[in-house]
Amino acid sequence: MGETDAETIRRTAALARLALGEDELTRLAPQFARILEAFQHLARAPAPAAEDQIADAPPRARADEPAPSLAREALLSQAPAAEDGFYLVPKTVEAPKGDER
Amino acid sequence: MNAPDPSGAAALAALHARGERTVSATLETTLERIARLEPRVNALERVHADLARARARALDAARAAGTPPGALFGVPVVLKSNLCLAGVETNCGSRVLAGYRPPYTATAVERLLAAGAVPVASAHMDEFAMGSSGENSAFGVARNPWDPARTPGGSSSGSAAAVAAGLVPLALGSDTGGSVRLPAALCGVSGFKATYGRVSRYGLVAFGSSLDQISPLARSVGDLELALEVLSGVDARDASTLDEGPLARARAYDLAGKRVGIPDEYFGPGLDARVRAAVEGALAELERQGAVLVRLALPTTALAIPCYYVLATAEASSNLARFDGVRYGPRAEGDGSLAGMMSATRAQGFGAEVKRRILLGTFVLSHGYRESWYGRAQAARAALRAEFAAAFARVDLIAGPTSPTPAFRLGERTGDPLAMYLSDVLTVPASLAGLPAVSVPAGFAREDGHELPVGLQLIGPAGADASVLAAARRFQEATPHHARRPALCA
Repeated sequence: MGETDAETIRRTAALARLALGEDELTRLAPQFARILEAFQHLARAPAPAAEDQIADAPPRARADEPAPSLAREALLSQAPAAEDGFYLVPKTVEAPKGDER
Repeated sequence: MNAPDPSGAAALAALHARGERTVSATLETTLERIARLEPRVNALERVHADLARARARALDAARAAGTPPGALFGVPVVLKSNLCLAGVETNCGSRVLAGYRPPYTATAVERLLAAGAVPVASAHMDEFAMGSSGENSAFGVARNPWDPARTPGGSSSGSAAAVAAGLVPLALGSDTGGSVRLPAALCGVSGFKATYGRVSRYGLVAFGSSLDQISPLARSVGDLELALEVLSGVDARDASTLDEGPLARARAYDLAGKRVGIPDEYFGPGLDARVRAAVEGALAELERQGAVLVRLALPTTALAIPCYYVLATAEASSNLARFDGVRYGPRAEGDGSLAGMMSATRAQGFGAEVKRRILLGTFVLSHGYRESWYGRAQAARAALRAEFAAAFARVDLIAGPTSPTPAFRLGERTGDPLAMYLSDVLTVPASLAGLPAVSVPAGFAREDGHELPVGLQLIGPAGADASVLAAARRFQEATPHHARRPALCA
């Protein structure tokens, strides 16, 4: 079903947004390989026929009516950084040259 | 027949309702017991003494003013630390949520409050409910009251230990792959995972959304039935809840003539001989009450562990993506970029097991591996469900052990993730199939001079929650195991 060397773990960690140190990667790779090896017999399961085979019934949708929701301030109060009613995060877009703010 | 437990939830609520004891008096006794036993059990992450005292006073005042008391009037309860209670730190045993005070309350907790319950503490747990021993917590490891050198089981470790130690008569946990039934078995208490959708998940911090169920722990099945009457029912805020009213208990249930399936796979070579003996004794009691034991084969059980650990980790990798240093908890700056901040926050905030599971879940969903892992696991889940459905055409209940072994020593399995995963081999099948399942004390195994509890698991068809609980209640009415208390807590 596929190999899991340190490079696979490194790529997966990047996808999962986990900054792992070399020591963690070294420790995790053999554990990963062992877990997946022990799970190989999943291949004995019948080939998947369709996506979402477990859904017996579609989830119930609520009425499309406005209803009260949590106050913005209440949610922002738990954020590590917030300003003027917004979450504050590191800058993601470089400002064009000559347009320093 | 056993007399009702005078310190149980139902008896306490009745005592308060009749005015024979105030809620405040019960609370003070509870807080004293916590202060006395916590140093040895370490079940609780934090005690909400001020909040509980204010609530107890309010309940006593309401009763004096003539307000009709609810079904759990004045009953002290412990909540697993992944159940939101507005304004109270709910950290899921994780540094990534340290200090998080949710601005809202879980529906299940709201229903407890509406019934008059008094939340007194948050319980230790495996981080984000990922673990079978309670050892994956950033804030403390609960101990088994029957032998403090051993695990209470996980992930609802503190909730189970709190009930076993008699700190409270009722606790809430969450059960994704056995996280309430396993600790119930290892701590000698009763724990029930309802049919998927019976109890609203709104306000439960999500781990594996297609599996998670908020689940109660108590010393008697009668108290579990009472809890389910309060907790269950449709909720507009959780679209997966069953479109039904609260559960009504099956008072007149009789085991006579009921067909009880005994799967060969649940009594395999990995089963501890003492567990086998206790469970066989329990099966003999069911038979004595007129049940007919029927041998069954559930061969897909062999795929249950890989199936569960692929699907639950896949769902977890998605659910835990939200903990990125933007909306909750502490933030690590990393290299100063947005992606660097997120990666550093997650690397510092999550513990080793949670990282392992996020990676496993991300891997099985990633390009090139999705069909062979996630797809096969979905197929195995469908096969397992079909196998249970066929079995329940022949039998009313399925019975077996809850855990293959009694409580193991703290530290014994922490170095071997796979061995820890195998602790769940008997509980994940009902989770994958969404079935109601209860664990009740069935006997004891003696080791190192300690009595270690053994659990009997009863599984029913989807929707048959009331019958599963009633069968367990009939078993308890004729057996003494659930009434025994650990020596440490005398």
